[in-house]
Amino acid sequence: MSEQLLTVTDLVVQFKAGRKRVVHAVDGVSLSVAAGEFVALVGESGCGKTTTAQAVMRMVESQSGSIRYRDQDITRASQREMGPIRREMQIIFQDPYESLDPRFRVRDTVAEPLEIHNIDNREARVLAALERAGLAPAELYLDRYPHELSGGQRQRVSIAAALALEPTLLLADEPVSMLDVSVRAGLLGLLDDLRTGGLGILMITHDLSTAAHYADRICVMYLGRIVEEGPAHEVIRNPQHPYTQALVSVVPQPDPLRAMKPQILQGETPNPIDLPSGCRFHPRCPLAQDRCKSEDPQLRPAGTDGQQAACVLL
Amino acid sequence: MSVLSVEDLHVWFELPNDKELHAVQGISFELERGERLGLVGESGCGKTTAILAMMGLLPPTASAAGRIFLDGEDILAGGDDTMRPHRWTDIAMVFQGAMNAFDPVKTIGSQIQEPIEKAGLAEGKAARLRTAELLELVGIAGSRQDRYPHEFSGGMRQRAAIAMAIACEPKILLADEPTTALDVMVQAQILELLVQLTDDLGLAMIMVTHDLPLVSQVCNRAAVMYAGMIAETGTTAELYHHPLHPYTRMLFSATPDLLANHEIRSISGTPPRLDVAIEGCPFAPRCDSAIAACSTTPPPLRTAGPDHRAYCHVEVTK
Repeated sequence: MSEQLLTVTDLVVQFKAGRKRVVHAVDGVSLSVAAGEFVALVGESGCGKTTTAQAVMRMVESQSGSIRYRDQDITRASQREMGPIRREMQIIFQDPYESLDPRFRVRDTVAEPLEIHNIDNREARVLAALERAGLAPAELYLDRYPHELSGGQRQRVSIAAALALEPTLLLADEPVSMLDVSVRAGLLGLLDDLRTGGLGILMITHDLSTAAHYADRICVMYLGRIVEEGPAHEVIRNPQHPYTQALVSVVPQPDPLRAMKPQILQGETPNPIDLPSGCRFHPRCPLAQDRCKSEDPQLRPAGTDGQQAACVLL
Repeated sequence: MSVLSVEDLHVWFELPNDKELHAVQGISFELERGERLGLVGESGCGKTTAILAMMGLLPPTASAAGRIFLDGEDILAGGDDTMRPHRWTDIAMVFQGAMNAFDPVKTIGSQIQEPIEKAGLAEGKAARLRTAELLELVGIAGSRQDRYPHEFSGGMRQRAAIAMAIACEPKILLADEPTTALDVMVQAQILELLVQLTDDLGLAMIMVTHDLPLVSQVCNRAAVMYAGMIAETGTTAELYHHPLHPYTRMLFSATPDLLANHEIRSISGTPPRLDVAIEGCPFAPRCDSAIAACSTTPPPLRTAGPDHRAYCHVEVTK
């Protein structure tokens, strides 16, 4: 088995929202990413998927639980202790139009992390990173500014900047959702190739079709919890949790003759301040019973081997 | 007879450098009564510009030419004089991001009431009653009309925006990316609403989107646009199963499919600039089937069945 790179256990992240009110953004999340593994964390806006990634990067502080990188507990590591770990753990963001400094040439953007970590032989590393990110020949892009690049090329520059440090783990927060369909595949194919080369990837996305296609495993989040997780194929083809079942059924299909019967949930996700009692999905669950109002279900094996769901009815 | 017929529509934008950007380059299509037509393409292909031209709402730097027949009358011919009488009462539009365009200091109800009163359909109490009816029609309790936009969720504001668009009982609804920025479950709710509204009211709809699966799910027919032109039109089933144009085929193969595990392929290159004249087929530089003629000669029309048309030099071999 491949080495575990990231192990998150019972992670809790809360934000204060005025006096006595607390946003339960991440409410007991456990997940792991191994070397060469592509994990997708999917869910709707506000479910806590981005906060999870930010907590892993130590961009927000967690209240409890633990985050381990390889065999090191980094939950409470100081900024100084995090330094060398940040070399190995990189993140790319959704918006390629905002995440690049417009006054920086491509070479400066990609070299910046190398300067911060005081790594020499920068020119060669920048060129190599650009080529790995699919910007070849790299010399052609070195002196361009972001405004001279297309959206897809900008996102490749962000990836190149992340790759310059030769990380082992990459967190990607909605890396293609701002891009046109025709260029998305190229970027996702690039991530897929990097994964084959041994990089561990945690991708945050709301797009189940993309997750189904590229991820090895899918974790489905709802209101701060992972409600189902397992091999991507199983979670999509054989979903166990009623929320996953509904989510999968409403994904639009490109073949009009193969439309599924959408199982549309009414209303919208409640806010993470006043969490429902018992199972947090019960107010919208088509199968909810009385005990769902009081019993808070934990993940347990369901469906196929390696699949888990948090539902008392399973 | 079709309710809307667009013939050889062109739109140009003036650029600061005395150049012109030819955003829509001669598109033609028909919309039947009660039909749902998808207008799909990637950013910058001219799909939004095309429907803004149908509403007569292009910015002042733009000029339009061609014919837009509404029930047989060319509403483009007389400029705003021929457009205005039909705007909102015959053709209405849900703008992209409409849910975020409500005035935050006015109640939702008063903002829906405004076009009803402006069009002279009802006033005062009657207009209030009509507003409540419209909200009920889109799945919001009529009693909530005195609420402010911030008291509604994104999905509810989008429903209210749809109610506002159909306030004057139009025959045609133009919906520009009506579910972009909404979560997949709310998206499903809004799509269900649009399908149900068009069915119940006999409303014809043009849905503009970059998302092929949305079109497959909602529309009977679709037009695929590229570089200001229509590359292919047909039923959604024809477009998916028997595409005539390589762009349609390549766009589908770039789209991940939840259940079919086909290989996802991106389309290399970028769309052409629209401020210089295009010679030959605009897609030729990115096309996987291009032949010599593609870069020099405009592509000929090909048909496969009554409603299935494409502009391409290359014949599809099955």
